[in-house]
Amino acid sequence: MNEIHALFVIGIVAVFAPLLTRLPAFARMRAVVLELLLGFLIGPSGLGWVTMLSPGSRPLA
Amino acid sequence: MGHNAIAWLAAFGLSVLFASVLYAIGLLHAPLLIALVLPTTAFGMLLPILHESGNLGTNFGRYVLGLAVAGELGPLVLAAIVLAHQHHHLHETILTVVFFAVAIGAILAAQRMRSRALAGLIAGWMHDRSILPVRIALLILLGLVSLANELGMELVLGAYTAGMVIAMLVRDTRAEILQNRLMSIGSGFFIPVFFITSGVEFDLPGLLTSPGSIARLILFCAGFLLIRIVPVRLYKGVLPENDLLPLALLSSTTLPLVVAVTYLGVRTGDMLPENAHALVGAAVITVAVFPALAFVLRAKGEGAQPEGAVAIAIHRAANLASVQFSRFLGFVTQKIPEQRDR
Repeated sequence: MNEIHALFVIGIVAVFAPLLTRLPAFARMRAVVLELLLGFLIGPSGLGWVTMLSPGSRPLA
Repeated sequence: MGHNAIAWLAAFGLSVLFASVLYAIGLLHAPLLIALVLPTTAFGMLLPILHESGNLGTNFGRYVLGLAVAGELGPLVLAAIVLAHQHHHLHETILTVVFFAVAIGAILAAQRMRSRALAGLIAGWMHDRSILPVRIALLILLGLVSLANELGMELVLGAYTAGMVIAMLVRDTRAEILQNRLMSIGSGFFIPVFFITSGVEFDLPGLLTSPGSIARLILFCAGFLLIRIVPVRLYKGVLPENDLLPLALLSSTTLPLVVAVTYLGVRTGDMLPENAHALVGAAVITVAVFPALAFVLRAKGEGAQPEGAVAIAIHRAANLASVQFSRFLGFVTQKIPEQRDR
């Protein structure tokens, strides 16, 4: 996956995270927590949809 | 503000002590950076939480926000200084002083320039197709970020200064529309992208499968709260006893700064990656649990009864926390005079 695709998937998550907080099941969850969790979900430790990060970035792990 | 500044400094002092103990037992690589992360507060997250709970205009809400401002600004400035240089040479220290002089000068200049005429001009230009004030604001941002970079400071400090300069010019004036536009750019794109990419880089299985990492997670989670519990006693005269533990819980609610500072710490090699992970995990717990616990405790103090299984479970946990907190305070207030007498 190239960086443009990675950014597109991140964009989808950025749209879905605040929408999810409007559902009763996620109503108590802060958007920022959901963004982190969804980021984890699409990342290499989760579904692996986003694996390519910028060359300067370094994982927190 | 006096209460808030002293309470934050006390929390920072306890944080240094807490990090020093962890450093002494070999859990930390750079205790000062951890000490800076622990007393952070998520001001931007507390604002809607207090609004939704109807506490924004109350005395309690004002003290929570005051403490949150100190918890957001203090660690950021100190972290930028700590991360900027190792200060081995005099010229590096001088460059840091130069940056702070320029930053304070820019904020004071913005304060002097603030006027009704300028606000009207900015508000008028906001309706142009080129939205010139947004371009000027971004230029101020890029200028201060470049200056911070040139002087060896962390870029975030330049960005923060730019935010303060622009807020000084437009807040509570007709030109506040500019602030709203900039917030749209930040909240609509940059902020979610930052947190989602932080989530992408977050190794949750690594955190939850290692006993050492779980121990760090629990330690940091306790650390976020413990360093706040004693300083909130300063509010005893201005807030009811029942509000003190909720105040400690809410002021321990943090995440964005933890993510930012741990990212910088790992990047500069000043923080062990496993500590960065555990800190972010602990911060997620503070956001998910602490505010709910705080409001359950306040409701309990006011005699309200919880409804539903989850609320009852939190209510019981809050009861237990409240009893332990009272015991802890009793122990501290008993021991300190004994130490003094010796």
